[in-house]
Amino acid sequence: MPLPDARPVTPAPATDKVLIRLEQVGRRYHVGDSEVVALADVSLEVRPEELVVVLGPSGSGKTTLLNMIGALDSPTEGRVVVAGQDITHASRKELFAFRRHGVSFVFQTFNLFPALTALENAEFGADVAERPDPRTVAVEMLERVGLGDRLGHFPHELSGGEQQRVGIARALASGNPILLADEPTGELDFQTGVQILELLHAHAHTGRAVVIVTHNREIARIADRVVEISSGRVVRVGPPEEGQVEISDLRW
Amino acid sequence: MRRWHRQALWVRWAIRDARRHRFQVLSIALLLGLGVGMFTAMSSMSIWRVDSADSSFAALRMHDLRFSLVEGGTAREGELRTALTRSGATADVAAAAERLVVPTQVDASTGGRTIMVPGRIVGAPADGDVDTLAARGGSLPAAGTDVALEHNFARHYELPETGALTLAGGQRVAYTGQVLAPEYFIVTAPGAGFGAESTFAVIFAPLATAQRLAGKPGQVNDMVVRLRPGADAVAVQRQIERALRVTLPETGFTVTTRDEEPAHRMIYKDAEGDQQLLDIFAFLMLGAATFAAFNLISRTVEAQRREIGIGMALGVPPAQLARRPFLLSAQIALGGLILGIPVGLAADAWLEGVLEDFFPLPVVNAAFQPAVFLQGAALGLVLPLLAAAVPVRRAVRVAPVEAIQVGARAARSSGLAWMLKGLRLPGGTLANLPLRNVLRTPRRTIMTLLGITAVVTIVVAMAGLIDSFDATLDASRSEALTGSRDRLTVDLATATAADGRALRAVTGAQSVGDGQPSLRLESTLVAGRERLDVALETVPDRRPVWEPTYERGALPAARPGLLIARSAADALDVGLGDRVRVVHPVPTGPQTFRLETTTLPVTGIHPSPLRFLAYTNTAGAAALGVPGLVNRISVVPAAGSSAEDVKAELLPLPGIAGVQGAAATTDAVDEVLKEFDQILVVTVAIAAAMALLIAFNSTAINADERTREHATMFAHGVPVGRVMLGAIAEALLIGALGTAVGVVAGHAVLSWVLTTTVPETMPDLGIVSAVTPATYGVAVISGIVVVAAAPLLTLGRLRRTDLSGSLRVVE
Ligand SMILES: Nc1ncnc2c1ncn2[C@@H]1O[C@H](COP(=O)(O)OP(=O)(O)OP(=O)(O)O)[C@@H](O)[C@H]1O
Ligand SMILES: [Mg+2]
Repeated sequence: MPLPDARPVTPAPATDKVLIRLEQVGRRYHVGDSEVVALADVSLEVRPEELVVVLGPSGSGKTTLLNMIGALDSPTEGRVVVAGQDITHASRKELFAFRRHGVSFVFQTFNLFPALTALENAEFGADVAERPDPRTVAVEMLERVGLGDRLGHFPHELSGGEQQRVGIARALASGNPILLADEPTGELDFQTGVQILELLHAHAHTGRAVVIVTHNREIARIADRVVEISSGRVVRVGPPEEGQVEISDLRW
Repeated sequence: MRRWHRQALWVRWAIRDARRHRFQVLSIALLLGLGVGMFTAMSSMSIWRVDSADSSFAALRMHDLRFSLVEGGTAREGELRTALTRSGATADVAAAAERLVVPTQVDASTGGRTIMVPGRIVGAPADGDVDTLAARGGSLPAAGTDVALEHNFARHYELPETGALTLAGGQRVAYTGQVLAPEYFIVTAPGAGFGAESTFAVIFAPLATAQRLAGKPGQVNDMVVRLRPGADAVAVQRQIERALRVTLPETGFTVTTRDEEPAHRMIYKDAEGDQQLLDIFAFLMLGAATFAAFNLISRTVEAQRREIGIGMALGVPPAQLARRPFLLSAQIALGGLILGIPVGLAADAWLEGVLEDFFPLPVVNAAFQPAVFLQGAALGLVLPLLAAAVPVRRAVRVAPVEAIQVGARAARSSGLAWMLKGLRLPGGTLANLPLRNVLRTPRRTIMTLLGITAVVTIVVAMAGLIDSFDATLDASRSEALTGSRDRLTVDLATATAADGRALRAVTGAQSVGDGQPSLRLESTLVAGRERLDVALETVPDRRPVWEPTYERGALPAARPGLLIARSAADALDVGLGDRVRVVHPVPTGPQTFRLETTTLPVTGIHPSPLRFLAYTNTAGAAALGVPGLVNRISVVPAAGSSAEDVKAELLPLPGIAGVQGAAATTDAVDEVLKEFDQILVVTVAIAAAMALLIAFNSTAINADERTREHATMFAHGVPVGRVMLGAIAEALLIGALGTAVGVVAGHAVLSWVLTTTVPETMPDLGIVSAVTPATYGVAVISGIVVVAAAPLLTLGRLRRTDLSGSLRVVE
C-alpha cells in the first residue's frame, strides 16, 4: 500500500483508519556486557486526527519510541506498521521515502542547520517533502510559531526556545501526515508553550496524527489519549487521568 | 598520586580524541611524514653533491690551471714544460703534465647497435700526479695501444667493462677499462655547456699511445698544472702565460682555471641551482603538509570549544584546558616524525640513486643529514602545535556562557554565510548547502584551499618545467632540422680549402646527396663588458641543405653579417645594427692558429634556444680573415641511403673527425634532462598523493563535524546520495578554487625558476616557457578530480550513520 500523500490530507473519520500501529515493539541496547532495555512489549495504535501524548520520566524510553515510529531506529522485537506499511521490514529506499513524505520530526535537541537561517531551516522541511512553494509555507509556519520577525536569523542568533520553535516550524512546513514532537515545549515559557500546543492541536485536526512526547503531566491533559510509559513499558493508555481540558486551562 | 591521576585523565582523553579521528590523525601524520621526509632528502642533495664533488676532485688531484693551445696548434713534447720551468713559478707548482688532446670519432658499436659519436683522445703521462683516473671496472691502460674509455659515456650505452673501439681513420684500439676523470665528472661537448655523455666519448691513453693514434708523434698541445696549497693562482698563471708567449710566439693558447673547467663549474653551479629548485619544492611539500595538519588540529579544537567552555564554566584554568588539544597535536606531530624518518630514508636512498646515476663520482658522501632532518622535524613538530594554539586561544577567550549554549554547534558563528542571505540560488535549500558550508567556515576552507594550492603549485611548476624543457628542445630540434630531418654534420679534422681532398671525398661519397660546406670556429663574442662563448659558423651563399631561420633581420647578401640567438642578444645586451667584437682563431700555418679580434654588426636574430649558435656569411668570413676555409659539411643522405649509411661510409675516410645528426647537441641535452625528469615526475606523483590525503582529511573532518546535520537530513528522508552529492559539490568548489590559485601560483614559481635558476644552471639554453594541456590535466586531476572524489571514501560511514544516536546527542 502506498504511503499517504501529505497534500492535501483528506480529513478522515477519526476511528476507521489506523495510521500508526506498534505491535509488541521492543528495543534493547548492548553496552559492553550489560543490556539496556529501552522499550519492551509496546503495542499502540494511533489514528488520523488524534493527538497522543507519550508521558514518562526521564530515561523511560519516550524518545526511543518516537524514533521507532519515525523510522530513525528499528525495533529489536515486534513490528511497526505505518499507513499499512511494515516499516520494520522496509527497504532502505522505502524508509527514506517514508521519512520524506510520511513523518515530520521535532527533535528534543533541535538539530537545526547552523548554516541556514531560520527561514531556510523551515524551508528545508517543505523542500524535502516536495511541497509546492516551500518559501511561502516556511514564512507562514514561522509566523505561526511567532518568529515572523526573525526570518533572517541564524540559529546561533536565536535563543533556545526560538531555536525550538524553528524546529517546530520546520516540521509543520513539511506537512506530512504524522508529526512526532519530542518535548516541543521543553524550552518554552508557559505562554509560548501554550501557543505551540494549540498549533499542534490544530495540526492534528487537519487529518494528521500528532504524537507529543513529554514528562510534563500538565501537558498530557490536552491529549485525546495519553500513553504512559515507565522503564520502557506502557503502564497506562487512555484519556487524560483528570479529564481532557482546553489548552487555555493549562497551568505549569 | 592524585596529580598523576589527573594527568593520566588528560592523556587518556587526548588518546581517545586521536582514536576517534584515527584516520585523519594517521593521514595527517603521513602527510607530515612525507613533508618532513621529502624536505630532508631534497634539502640534503646539495650537501651531498658538494661534499662528494669536493672529495672527488681532491681524490683525483684535479688541476688548478690548464694551458691549451688553440685548436689545431701543437708544440714539441717538452716545450710546454720548458716554458713552465722558465716561468719561475716552479716553487708553487706541485705537479704538472704535458698532454695531447685531439678530436676524434669513436665507433663503439657492439652487436647490432651502432654507436658512433665524436670524441677526443686525451694522452697524458701514465705516472702523472695531476688529473689522475679512477677505474670504474677494468683497469688503467699500461702501454702499447691500449686505452681507457670514459665511464659516463660507457655507462650511458651500457658498454662492457673492456672492449674494442674504432677511432677516426679506422684505427682499432682495445680499452682495458672504464674510468672517471675530474675534467669529465660531467661530460661537456665543445661548444655546449651540457652533460653530453651520450654524444661525446673521451678516450684516455698514455701520452705515447695518444701521439701514435693521433698521428702526432712527439707532439703535445696542452698542459695541466696543480699548485701547492697557498700558491697565488693568478700570479702563477701570469708567469706561465708570459713564458709560453716567449716559447711559442706563433701559437695562441687559452688558460682555464679550475673554477672555469666546465665539469667543475657545472657540478657546483648545478648543485646550487638545483638546490634552489629542490628547496622550493621541499618547502611547498612541507607547506602542504603543514596546512593540512593545521586544518585538522584547528578543526578538532573548534569542535571541542563547547567542552572547553564547560570546563571554563566549571573553573578549570585555560592552561589546563589547552592541554587536551595540545596533546592531540603532539600525537600527530610525533606520528609525523616517526613516519618522516622512513620516508626520509627512502627518499634519501632514492635521491642518492638518482645522484649516482646523474653524476657518478669516485667518492660519494650521501650520508643521512641529521641536521637537515632536525630542521624539517622541528618545523613538522612546531607547526602542528602552533596550529593548536590559534583555535585554543580563540576558544578560551570566548565567554563560557556563549560556549555552553544549547545547540553547541549552532553557537558558533555562521562565517560568511551571511553573504548569501539575500541571495537566492536556484535549486532549493539543499542544493545551496555546499556553497554555504564553504562560506560558513572561511578559516578552514582557506586552510584546505592552501593545502590544495600548494600541491597544484608543485604540479604546475614541476610539470611546467618539464614542458618548458621539451618545448625548448623541440624548438631547437626543429631549427636544426629545417630543410631535412636527416641532415648530418660532418666535421673535418683540420680546416681545408673549399676544394680540399677531404671535402671532395665527402661530397663525392655514394651515400651523400647534397652537401653544404661551412667553417665553424670556437669564438667569443664581446660587447661592452659582456662576453659569450659561441660556435660561430659560416653560412655559404649557396645553401642547398640548410639555412638558419631569421626571427628578425637576416644575413645580408654582400655585407658582412652576424646572426645570433635571441638569448645571446639578451646576454650581450645588443640588438640589430649593434656591433660586437668577435675573438676567433685564424690559421697561421697548417698546424697553428692565432686568436684575432674582428668587429661584426649584428644583422639578424635566429630562433634556436641554443645560445652558443652564431652564424656569419661569406662576406663575414672574409672580414674574419678566413675566406674559403671549410671544416664542416652539412649533408643530406642520397635518395635510398640512410643517416647510418652516411656515418658508416664517411667515418673511415681520412681527415674526418666526426659525423653526427644535426640535432645531436639537442639530443644530448634531452638525454641529460630526462634524468632530471625522474625527480620531477616522482615529486609530481607525491604531490598528487598529498592532494588525496588533504582532500580525504578535509572530507573526513567534514563528515565528523556534520554527523548531526547529516543525520537530520536522513531523518527528513534526504537520500544518502544527495548528501554525498552535496559533499562532492563542496569539495569540488574548494578543489576548483585551490586549483585555480595553484595554477596561477605554479606559473609564478615556474617563471621565477625559468628566469633565475635555469639561466644560471643552463646558461646556454634560452629556455622557452611552456605549460602543456597535459600539465593542466594533471593539475585538474590532482586538484579537482581527486579532491572531489575524496568524499566517496566516507560513503560507507555515511550509510552507517547511527540516526537516533547522532540526533540525540547534545554535544
Ligand atoms: N544508543 C544507546 N545505547 C544504550 N542505551 C541507550 C541508547 N539510546 C538510549 N538508551 C537508553 O534507553 C533508555 C531510553 O532512552 P530515551 O532517550 O528513549 O529516554 P527518554 O524517555 O527520551 O528520556 P528523556 O526524557 O530524558 O529524554 C535510556 O535508559 C537510555 O539510557
Ligand atoms: Mg528523550
